[in-house]
Amino acid sequence: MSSSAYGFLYNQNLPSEEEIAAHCLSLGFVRGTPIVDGSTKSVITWIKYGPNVTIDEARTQDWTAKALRDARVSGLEVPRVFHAFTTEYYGCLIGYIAMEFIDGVNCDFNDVELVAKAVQTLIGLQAPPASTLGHVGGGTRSIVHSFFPDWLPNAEYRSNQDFYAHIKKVSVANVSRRFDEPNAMPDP
Amino acid sequence: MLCQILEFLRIDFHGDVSDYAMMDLFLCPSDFNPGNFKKRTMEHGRLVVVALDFRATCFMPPPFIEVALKKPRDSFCRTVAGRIAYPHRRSNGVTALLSASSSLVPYGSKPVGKRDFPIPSPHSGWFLSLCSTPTRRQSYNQCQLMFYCTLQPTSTHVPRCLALFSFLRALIQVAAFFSRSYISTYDTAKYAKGFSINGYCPRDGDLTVWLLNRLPDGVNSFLT
Repeated sequence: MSSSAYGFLYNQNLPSEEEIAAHCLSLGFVRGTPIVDGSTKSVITWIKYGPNVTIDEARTQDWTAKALRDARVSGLEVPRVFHAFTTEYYGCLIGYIAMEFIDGVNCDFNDVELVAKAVQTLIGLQAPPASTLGHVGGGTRSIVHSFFPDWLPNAEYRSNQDFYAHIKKVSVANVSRRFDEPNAMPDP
Repeated sequence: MLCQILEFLRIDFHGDVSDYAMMDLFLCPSDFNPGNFKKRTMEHGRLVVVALDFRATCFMPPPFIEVALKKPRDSFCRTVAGRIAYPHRRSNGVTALLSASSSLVPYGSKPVGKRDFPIPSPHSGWFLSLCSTPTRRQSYNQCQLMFYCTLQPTSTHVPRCLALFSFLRALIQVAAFFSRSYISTYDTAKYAKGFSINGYCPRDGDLTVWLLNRLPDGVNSFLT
């Protein structure tokens, strides 16, 4: 699916998917890399890539960037997304997100207040009506949350109700295990 | 009496989950790592933060935002969470959610009841298990090395555990380097550390369980 189908920001200077993938893989698995225009030496885009990068994540990022702009938030910025795609590499799907390059310095452990304000702003953004749990457009199966030990539920939730039923089951099993038998297992 | 308490707890939690389905959804970041943010100085010295990583940010009902704030993965995230004025109505079910989250650790990433390794007994001490857990969104094999404790850790458990864990991780990182694998790290609980080896080994695609071993007695006694 093309970027325009997701409403990403158009960038006429963006290299092809093949060129982006080749450039990134030549660097190995680093967190991200800029792509620079050879003639002007200006940064065309910042590429985030890796095996855990998904198009759903890109859609959530772009939705957030637009939501912050619409809400006229001044202390927090999110780069708009130009394009997102996946390629296969040794049987593994590698995701790529081409986004606006915003120059800056990485936050560190002295920036607690700044990061807290950013998180405060983000958790106040309400999802559009009829949104499902998870990433924008990804459905309930795209949930990524620290609730899960390795961030991913790894269960094929077909709906929000599936997710809530799972949580309820875990909780009931947990209560049973604590009060009844220390090693009792829940029914599959 | 115990049955009544259990029934009460179960019914109480059922109600909360039903409530969640009726709630509005909000953006829920759950990874406040400083590396996910940049700062830039604007005119007049005004600082603007740039949020860069949305992998662990998705739409959830407010109780899960509370869970994300109450389950920080390191001291930085804990400090950040402490500075946030929670903007939504507090939920009574968050404690139950946190408890449910902790109970997922021994299940690994498998759905409830679908675990591929047994829960260690409460008296077995530290466990090390290596199992293949192919995940639904990752076509490659994810081999997961989990390290968790069924005992309440003491001040001496944790540094010893982490020392051994660091050594094991270093060994596996060397092996991964030669086998062109990708390694990521994460915490599995507030006192347990884990990491996964996302190995590019498509020829081993059907393996479900690689290895399940208790630590050798010598290592176990070192830890406890």
